[in-house]
Amino acid sequence: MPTKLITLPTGNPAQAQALLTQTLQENKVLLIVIGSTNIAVNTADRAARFAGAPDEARWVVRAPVIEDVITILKTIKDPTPLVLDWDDTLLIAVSITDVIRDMIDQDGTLPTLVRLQTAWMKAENNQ
Amino acid sequence: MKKFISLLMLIASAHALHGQFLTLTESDESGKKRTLTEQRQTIDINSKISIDIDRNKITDAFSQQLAHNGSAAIDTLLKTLNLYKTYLEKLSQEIQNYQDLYNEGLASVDVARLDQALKARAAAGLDIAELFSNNERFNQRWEEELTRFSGGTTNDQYRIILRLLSEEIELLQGDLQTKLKEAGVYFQLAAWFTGNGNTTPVHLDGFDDLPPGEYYHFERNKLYLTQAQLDEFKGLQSFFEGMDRSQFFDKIIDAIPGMLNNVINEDSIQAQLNRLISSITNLTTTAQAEKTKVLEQAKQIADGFKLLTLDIKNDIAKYSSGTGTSNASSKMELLQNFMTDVNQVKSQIQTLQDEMKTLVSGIDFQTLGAGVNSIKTDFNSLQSLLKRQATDLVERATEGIQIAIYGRKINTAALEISNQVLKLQLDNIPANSVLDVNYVGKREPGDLLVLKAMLWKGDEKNPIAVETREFVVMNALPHLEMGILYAFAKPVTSNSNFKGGPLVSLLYKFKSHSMPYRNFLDFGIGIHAASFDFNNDDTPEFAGGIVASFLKDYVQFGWGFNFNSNRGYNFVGIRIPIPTSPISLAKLP
Repeated sequence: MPTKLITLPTGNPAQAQALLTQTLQENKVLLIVIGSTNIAVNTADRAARFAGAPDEARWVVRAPVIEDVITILKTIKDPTPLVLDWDDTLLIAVSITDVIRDMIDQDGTLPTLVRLQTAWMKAENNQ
Repeated sequence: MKKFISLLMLIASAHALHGQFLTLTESDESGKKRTLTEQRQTIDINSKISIDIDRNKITDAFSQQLAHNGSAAIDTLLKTLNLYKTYLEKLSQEIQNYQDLYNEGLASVDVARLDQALKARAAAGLDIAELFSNNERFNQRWEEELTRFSGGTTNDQYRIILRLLSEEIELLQGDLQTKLKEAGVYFQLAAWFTGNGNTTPVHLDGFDDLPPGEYYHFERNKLYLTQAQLDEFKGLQSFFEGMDRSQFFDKIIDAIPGMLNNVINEDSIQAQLNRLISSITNLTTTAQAEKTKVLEQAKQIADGFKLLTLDIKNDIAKYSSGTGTSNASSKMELLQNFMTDVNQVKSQIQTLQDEMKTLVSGIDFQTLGAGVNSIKTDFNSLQSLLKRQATDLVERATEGIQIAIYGRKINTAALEISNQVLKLQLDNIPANSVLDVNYVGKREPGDLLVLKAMLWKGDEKNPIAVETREFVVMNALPHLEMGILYAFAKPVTSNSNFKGGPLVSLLYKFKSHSMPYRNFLDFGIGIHAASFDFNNDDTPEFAGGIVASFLKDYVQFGWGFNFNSNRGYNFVGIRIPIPTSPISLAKLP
């Protein structure tokens, strides 16, 4: 099955912002992974395995350089709030109505598959 | 997936925890199968009954009973199982709902609908994840399954959760089985056959150590005249002796006086009435007027009861002396008259009960003072006794009549279980067995097979649940029967009178599982051969033709051709002399 992982371009913030904005505007359930560490890259790849069929709503976005897209990220609704410090954030789960519903922070460990699955479910639950 | 589907079926049956344990299917000689759903039913005399045992229902029945009787551990297990099953059902439903949406094409689906479907499915999944958040085994298994996941739809991922939950349910059911085993529960399935005046146990594979019975195949087609038929024709026996093949009618009629005598316990009721009247007479009270009123009403009730006992004695005398039987033109009419008498007795008892009720509700017990409470209690218990005995009388009478019409009915509660019937623990219960009627030995239509499934706990004397099924065997499939009677034929082209002569018929009997139909109507069509003397030369002439019969071949009619005198004829035949009273058709009480 083709991968449902979008890696935002580096070295071109405008392009990265445009792509992220466009993706957010589409009716998608997103896991947005932040960073370019091994953990971030592996997390994005593992999350993408559970994105389902090509025509389903789940997609994974990896933002290698947070500074390029932080302004866009901060516009995503976070009513709880779950994100307290973007620099400590590894992954956010965004619902189909563009609300942050789960967050995994960077603790130096690779999130388990069960944890990723839970993030997907919370994003879909949209509550 | 199969495991998952079977668990879904378990959910569907989860609410019917006190339903039947047995699913019975009859296979007859023609190869037709019929599910047997009623507690008492007819089956063909040469058929086989497949027995499927629902072990889940048995486990549920045991669990419910033990939980009800205070087993906290089992109660907790049951509640947890029910919770798991609810979650399983919910997630399954949401997976299906999402699948329906997916099949429509997600691109064309409104985002609000999609959001709703995603939310409902995710909520169901999260509930399960939350439930097992501290369950290491569940989470480890989940991680393993996700590691093995090699791509598929999101529904496939949710189905992993379903599978894991199903595993947990199985584990819990295993725990439940262990607890039930510790509680000493066991299951028995036993069968009996009542025929030839005896009741004998019948072997069921997997459930007992009884030897298989003797093989006996009932000869369905009677292509010969029995000695009885020949004797009957020779003697032209009377309507009653000829019709009564089952002999149950005589037995029931003999039992009527005993039934009336024993069901109503006159002595007990009379003793209670006397005691009541004595208590009222000796009551010390200042409310003399009230006391007098109560005493008068009680004496009226006592007089009413005396009249009732007199009526019962008269009825007993009537049926004992045969007056009751001789006045009836048929045995059915007799049974109807008996039920009328029984209902009359019941109505009289009801009147006494009502009078007692009126008395109790009309008395101002307060004014009568101390000592009156016991009188009130005695009135109430006498009312209950009368009501019980009236119900018993009607039930026994109806039962007796059913025996006469449907065949045997035995006291299934009193059947003794052979010590060769195995006591099976829950995980040893076979899933199915077969009861082959051909191996119960010699049998006749009207004989009875009884199947009993029993759930026991420890050394308790009574089972905690019983399912009893009764089967009356009958010649249900189509078959041929030969009969003989005296026929009256009228040649079609002549003005001559009816000519009498013997007629032998070979009749095709239709398929029926209705005992009343087979016992009373039993239509047939076929061919006949007869011997008439149309030309009055005292030489029998050979004739043959077609015939139809009803009323169990007591009346036959048709058309034939006399080959010797070269003439056709119409005929009617009866197995009795022309009756002076009308033939009574079957009329059930």
